[in-house]
Amino acid sequence: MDIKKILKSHKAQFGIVLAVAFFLPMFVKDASVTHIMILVLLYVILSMGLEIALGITDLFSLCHAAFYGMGAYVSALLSIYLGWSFWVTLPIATICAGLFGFLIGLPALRTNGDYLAIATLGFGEIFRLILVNGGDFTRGPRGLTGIARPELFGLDFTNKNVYYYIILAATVSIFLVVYNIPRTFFGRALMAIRDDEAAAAFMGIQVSKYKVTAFTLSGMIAGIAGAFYAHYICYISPDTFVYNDSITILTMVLIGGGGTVIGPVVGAVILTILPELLRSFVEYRMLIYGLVVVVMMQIRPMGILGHLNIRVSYLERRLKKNQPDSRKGKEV
Amino acid sequence: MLLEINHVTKSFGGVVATNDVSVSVPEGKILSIIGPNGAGKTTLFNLITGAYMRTSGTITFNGVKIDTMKPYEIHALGVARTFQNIRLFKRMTVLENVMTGMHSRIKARDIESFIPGRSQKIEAEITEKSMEALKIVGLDGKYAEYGAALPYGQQRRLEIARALVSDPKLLLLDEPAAGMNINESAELLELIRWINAELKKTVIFIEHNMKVVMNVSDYIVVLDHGSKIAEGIPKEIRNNPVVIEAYLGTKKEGGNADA
Repeated sequence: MDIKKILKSHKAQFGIVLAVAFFLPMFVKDASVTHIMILVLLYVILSMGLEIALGITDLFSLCHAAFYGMGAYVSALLSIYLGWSFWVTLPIATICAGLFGFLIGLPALRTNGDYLAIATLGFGEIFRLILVNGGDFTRGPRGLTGIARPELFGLDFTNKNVYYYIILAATVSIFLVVYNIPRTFFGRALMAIRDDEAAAAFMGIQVSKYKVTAFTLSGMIAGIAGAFYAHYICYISPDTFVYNDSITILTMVLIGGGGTVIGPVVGAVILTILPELLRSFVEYRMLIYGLVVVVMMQIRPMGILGHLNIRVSYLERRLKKNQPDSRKGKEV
Repeated sequence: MLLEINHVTKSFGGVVATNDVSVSVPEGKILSIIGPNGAGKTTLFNLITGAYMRTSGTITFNGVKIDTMKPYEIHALGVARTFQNIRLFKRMTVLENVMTGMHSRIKARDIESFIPGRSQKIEAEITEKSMEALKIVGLDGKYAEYGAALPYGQQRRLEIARALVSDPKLLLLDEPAAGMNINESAELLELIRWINAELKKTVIFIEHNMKVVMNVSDYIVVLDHGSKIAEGIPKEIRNNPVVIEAYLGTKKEGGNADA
């Protein structure tokens, strides 16, 4: 077998990336580097969530940070007030963030494009204001402290490496789920809505149902990231889940290449590591972001990997399995 | 009757786009709708497929009243269409475009596409049926290309495949030969005939090319300014003075008779 051919297959690439992600912490001695690696994974999960709404369905959502915050706050509050274990609060936080996504998905049926962006921006702000004015319950702008780290089979989760591997497992599972979506009839319904909403309806697709489902899934995945974040940092405040964060995640998806699933992962990795490397220029961070987006839109409007024709190889594989001589049969 | 349009009127504010139109379409026939620009032909298609809600009148398909249904419900009953301005899914491949057309034929629930083994089984079935539809229109060799990258005539064929894959009882083609050269439209003519004869589909199509219309239709309905001004078999329409005046133009004294 040709080594170049092997490297070209998605399975091989996925394996290499996974191996690097798996073995990297063993060589890293600096805890702050492990911290950045955990953040990278959290942002990969977040961008996967936004990818479903923005990349696959083209629903311009500017309240992704609110879904993220919903997951974090639900999990943290349950853990602090009721003392529930992380493994119970995680699914509840996921469901709550999904419900939140569902509720925001409903107005999404009536608006589109820029208007939807403004509407979701408003929802994000409402969410922040509720947290800030939540009184003793959410402890307002001071935030929640003393959130417990997860426990499992006596593993020491205060060890960052252990936590890293748990998040890595979650990230990989979520990636595989999202990666598979465009390869199913469910995902094609979403993509059809992205490409031409009216035509999709004429092809038998119930547009409203799929838009709301896309928002719900998007919220759920962000909720998972939120729960992991809350129990990792052990302290959350409304400042973490603001408009700026929504924009950051949005930029990750757009720069990486929305609709390709792999693109947003690349975008998340780059845009999480880059600010850390540019620590000394922290005041210019937003300026650099803006510049990067403008330059990207000029040279690669579809994102770094947006041009990838990623779904062709799987179609070929599927056809080969179905009918070995499909290439020859060219009649009519 | 497969489709029965009964005294349907559609007005947009003060503009009456369709005025008291009644059309009956028997099963297994090819019916064409002709008329000058703005006669309300596409509006009629939009009324049948549920894009617009009629102002008054009823539309019955296969015994079911469809005039208050949503487009996706009507599609599920077996009405598929193509568009005057090609509307392919631009960021999807040719095969995926066709696969999307099968949506209302999929019995599985959405959640099943997240269950590993089950999903593959459903998808294999969809892929097979979609490739069959692509073979019918002769595009199976181009399944991996993007729909928008195909030449114009093939894009039109792809739209037909996308409509056919759902195995509809009624196929609505909105100007399928528009912008095609003579060879392409002759091939298309063959295709429409074949779909009608072999696949037993009832076809309604809108067309301006009189040669295509006269050759292929069993029955012709003529619209003008939203109203039905004539209907009949091709021979009757060709010699109908009202149609000639409205659509083909009046023959001026000393003018070019061939025009």
